[in-house]
Amino acid sequence: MIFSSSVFLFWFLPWVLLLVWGVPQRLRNLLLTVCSYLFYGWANPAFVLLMLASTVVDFCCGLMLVSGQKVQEDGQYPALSRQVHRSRRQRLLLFCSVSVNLGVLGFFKYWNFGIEVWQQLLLQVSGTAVDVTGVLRVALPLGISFYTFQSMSYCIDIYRGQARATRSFVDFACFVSLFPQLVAGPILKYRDLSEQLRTRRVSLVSIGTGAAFFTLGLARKVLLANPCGEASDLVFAAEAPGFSAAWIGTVFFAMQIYFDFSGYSDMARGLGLMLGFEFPANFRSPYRAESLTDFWRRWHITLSGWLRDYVYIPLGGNRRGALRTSVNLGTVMLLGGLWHGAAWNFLLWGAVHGAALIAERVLNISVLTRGPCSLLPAWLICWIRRTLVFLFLCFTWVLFRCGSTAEIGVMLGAMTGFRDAGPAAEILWTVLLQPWFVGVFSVAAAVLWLAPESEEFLQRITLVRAAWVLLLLPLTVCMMSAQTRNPFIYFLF
Amino acid sequence: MAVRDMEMKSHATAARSSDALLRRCLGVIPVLLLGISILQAFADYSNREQRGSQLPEIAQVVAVVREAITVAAETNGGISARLLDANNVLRAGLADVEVLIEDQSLTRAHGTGFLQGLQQSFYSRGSDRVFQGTDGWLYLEDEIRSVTGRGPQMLQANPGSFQVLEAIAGLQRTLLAEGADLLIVPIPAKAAVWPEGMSGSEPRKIARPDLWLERFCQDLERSGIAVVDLWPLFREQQKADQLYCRTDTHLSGHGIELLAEIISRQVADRFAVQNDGVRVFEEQSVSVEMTGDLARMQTGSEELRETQRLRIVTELITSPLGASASLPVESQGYGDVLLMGDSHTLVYDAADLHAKGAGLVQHLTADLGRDVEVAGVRGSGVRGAYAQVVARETWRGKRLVVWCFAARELTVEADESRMWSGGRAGISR
Repeated sequence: MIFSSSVFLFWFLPWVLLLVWGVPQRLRNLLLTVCSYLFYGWANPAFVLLMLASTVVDFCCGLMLVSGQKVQEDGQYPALSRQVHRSRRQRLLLFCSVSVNLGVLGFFKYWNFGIEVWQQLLLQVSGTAVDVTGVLRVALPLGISFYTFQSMSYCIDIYRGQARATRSFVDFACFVSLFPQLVAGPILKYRDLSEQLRTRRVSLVSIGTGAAFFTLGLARKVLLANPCGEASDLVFAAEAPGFSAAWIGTVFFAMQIYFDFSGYSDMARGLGLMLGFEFPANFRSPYRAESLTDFWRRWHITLSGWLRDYVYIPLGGNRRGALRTSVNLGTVMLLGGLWHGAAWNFLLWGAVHGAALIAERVLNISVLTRGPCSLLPAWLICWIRRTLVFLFLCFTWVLFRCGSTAEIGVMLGAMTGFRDAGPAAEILWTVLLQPWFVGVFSVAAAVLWLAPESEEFLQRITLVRAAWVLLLLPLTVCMMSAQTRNPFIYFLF
Repeated sequence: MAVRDMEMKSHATAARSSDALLRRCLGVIPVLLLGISILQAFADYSNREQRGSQLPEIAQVVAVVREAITVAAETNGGISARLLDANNVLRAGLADVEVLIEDQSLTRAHGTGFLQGLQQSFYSRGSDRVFQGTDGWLYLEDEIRSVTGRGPQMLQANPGSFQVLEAIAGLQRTLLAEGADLLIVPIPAKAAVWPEGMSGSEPRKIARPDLWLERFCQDLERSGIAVVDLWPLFREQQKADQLYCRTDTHLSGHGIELLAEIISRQVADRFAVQNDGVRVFEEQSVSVEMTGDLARMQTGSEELRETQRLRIVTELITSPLGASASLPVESQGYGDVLLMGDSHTLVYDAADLHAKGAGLVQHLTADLGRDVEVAGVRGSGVRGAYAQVVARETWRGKRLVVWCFAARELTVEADESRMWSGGRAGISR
């Protein structure tokens, strides 16, 4: 079930909200958990069992990590002391939780990729192709990367003394399965949500704000991401798009992925608010970043935060010298690439970002603030930087978007002018230049670089803003009904 | 100063209270969604007789769950096999429920037309499935994508997808064993043959845009499979005559006649099936005013009509006593030529496809002088037609099988696997 569908908007959501608001506080988490399992099981009921198993393992590990501790007056276990060394048993329990989660993620996400790599390796070594038709193939459960990371962070936080273990299985199951953010984030940490799981208030103000967030997110998805995707799909599928079409297609893809994912995050935050939860922001106008480091502080913030807290800092962060910092940065970006999908292109995408971040850090790139460039007005320097970062991102989005090295070659070749346009390029141009795509491109560009993010927009609500939200709703719903394609990119991760 | 501070404070308080009030007002959004949900239920209830149930969506969910339980109980094998089977039934059933909900939704019934009308007025675009060219020319977006795309190699690279080349080669082997021949006729896309209709430019010499189709035909030829590459012939002819409908995905009446002529010429050159010239056919020219499928897909263009000149074929039968009568030509199950494929094999010979008696089967019968059986499907002329012909063994007793389909079909599945869609996660309508 995806948010931009009739089944969610008119069948699932209103009734779930009504039920959740209607039941007593103590039953809300149970009801939410049941609804979230229904939401998740809609696409493939079997995978509900997998999520349940992951939840049970982490819940039990969490309880066992704090066994021996005295329950406090509020009925909760205290956080483990950070000064005390952890016992062998506790280390073993943490290892158990992390390995089960990574094992599940590895098996479901990387098994097929492993077989392909193994097949290619054998082909290279022995020169003969290996028949893998009888070998087990695994279907990817939706959102597995999101909920395993979330579930895993619970035990790590308890072990580190940063979170208190819960005694309520329902609360924990609710945290793992919470439907607004289950399949595409934002990635939550238990410590940020534990209080809200126990006591939260739903008010008319939070419902209204949540509904506005949801509407803006839905509008981003339906009115901007889907049409941008239509144009980018056309170009990325082309045999020889040529220089201009390749660039336009790539920019359309950059727009699509941003509006798609940020729209989803806004919808998730809005749904959370309507249910009484406050989720962290996941995007902060990333294409307005003036450096790559800045970009990663604005793009998929909760994943960057997760990798920082659970990978980068444990590896030593930036405290062990320049070389080690670079290695850590590279490792985190490679893992970030691999997190997105089991394919060489994602790995390459992560590696290129890692290398660029290292280069930016080592070379301390600030060319535009030195020498004659320093005479330029600040706003111009800012826009030049933004443009350079965006151009770099466009190149890397090609790696992200293309499924094979041949496709990457076609697109990058066209974008750099090394590959000429094919005979169908004129037809491609005719389609891309139709008024509809020109209109979509202009509006999307204006929203990207000039309009405020949803959070900023909803910071203060005026009559005009409220009217705008209310106008967007019917427009978006009508558009949603008229569209024949409605993908959600991050569902695949 | 104090007065100014107080004024500022009172402004801030007023802004805060109006902000909170407006936020509360926005709480109407979930109520609106609930309202639509209730209206939907009322609409379902009032159409209960037509739809067969008071709440068809709920009824279908219940039916799916029941079926899954039955499958789990009746499947032979261990518990995991039972659960897997039941899960597959649930998955497929719930996906169908979702499609039903989308199709029957009130917003689709009432909102789509309104929005497409708006788009049509502002952007000359009434649907995301149709490209509006100039001078009344409409093009299917899928077809354009197939022309500019990489062709069917993606399809072949995906082990889970239908392997066209294997299917064609398999059918060829079966037919050869039976002493019959196979002729493949992929119909090039309108956008490849007549791109001038998209941009309104003057006809000129162009390089072939769908190079992959040329490669595909060459591959088939190399494998010893007879194929007709229509693009050069169609392109040349399109400049003089209109071979494609403006508002429809199919060939025009003249295009169908030319296609039949090309096929029969190929047959005469290559195969043992020859016209013995004994039978006499007559043609009667008629004008048909029609609204094509593309115009119907595109809101605001339903009234867009075009006129086709068709030639209705009849056979002149003379009795031994000398009396003669013109009888309609129809698909004949005993004919030794089988025409299989998509709706190109049916157009102008079906009540819902603009006319009767002027289709490919009639013109082919007249040109070949032999009875032709049609195995045409509405939908996939590659996968669907193949499945139907193989399952029913329609090829038995034939001397020639002509497999005719829109070339775009060779790329459709490839496109789906390439698109970031959601084949797996999103909705395909």
